[in-house]
Amino acid sequence: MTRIIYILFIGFLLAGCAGEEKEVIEDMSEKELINAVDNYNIKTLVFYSTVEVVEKNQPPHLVVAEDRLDFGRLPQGMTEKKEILLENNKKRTVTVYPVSNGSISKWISFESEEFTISPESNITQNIYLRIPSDAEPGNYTGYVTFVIRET
Amino acid sequence: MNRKTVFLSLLIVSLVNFETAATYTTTGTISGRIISTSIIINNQNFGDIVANDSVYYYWNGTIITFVSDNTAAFDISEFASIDFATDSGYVNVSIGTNKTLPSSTKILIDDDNTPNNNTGIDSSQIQLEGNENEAHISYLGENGDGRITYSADGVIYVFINTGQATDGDISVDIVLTAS
Repeated sequence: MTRIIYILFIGFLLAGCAGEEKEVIEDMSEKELINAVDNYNIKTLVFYSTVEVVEKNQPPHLVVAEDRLDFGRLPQGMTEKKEILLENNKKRTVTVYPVSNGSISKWISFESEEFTISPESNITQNIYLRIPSDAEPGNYTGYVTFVIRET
Repeated sequence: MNRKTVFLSLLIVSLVNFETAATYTTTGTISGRIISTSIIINNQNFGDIVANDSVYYYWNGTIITFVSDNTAAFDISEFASIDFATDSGYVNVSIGTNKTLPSSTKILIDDDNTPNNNTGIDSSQIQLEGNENEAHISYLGENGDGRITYSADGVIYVFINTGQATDGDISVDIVLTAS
């Protein structure tokens, strides 16, 4: 009996919320509705990013890996570029915003601050790491995140 | 009576959710992978070297020194090293913005520490040569694609042979693209 009361209470609660959400949705224009739904369709691709900065006269050490933005060991003043392939297997266009954070982020830049990928297609983008000539030798880390919204 | 109400409310919930999801949610994935890594190397300073077409100059980490053709340079300092996550790959060599190289002077970009002008003896290298004081790729590697292929983590070495040049500046950007 208690179980039935609980189920009944949760059922009414959910039904009430869903009904309220539906009313709100029905009052929206199509554009507002799409934007609202998009807010629930934000996804991210995250790549761990790292570099070791060494003195200028040291040779660079490159790391070639598909799944991480490891810039290896770079001398001061050097620039490294990594090309990333982004594949959209969805049936909708997506908009991508790359962002970086962590101690490495001050040297990271992107080919585009915002770009779109058509349905079931791919795009390549360059990510640059520019080490200043006066950078302090040491290890720097962070993340590069691609924030993806369906449009 | 209570059971009917429960079933009815659950039915409403499932119908509402199904309608919303079916209309606006798409399937499929978005994925990403890094396909290449590039750097421009122009920081190895050879200073003044004596014109001598029978030797190959290299940097040993302290000074510029030299060896003869087909002789190992045991103390050579690497020009770059590559860590392939999949334990194999290739390095593509190209020339960047700066390409000053006296005519007939050669730059050998090699995966071993023995300079060989004869690519029949060592095909796994890239050769740059000056033509009208501008660097051009004169040997594109064993497959003719400007690449050196590695079956394991690798190292790149650089040698300079002055050829018939008696003077001139050397300032060449060497672009390495690894994948």
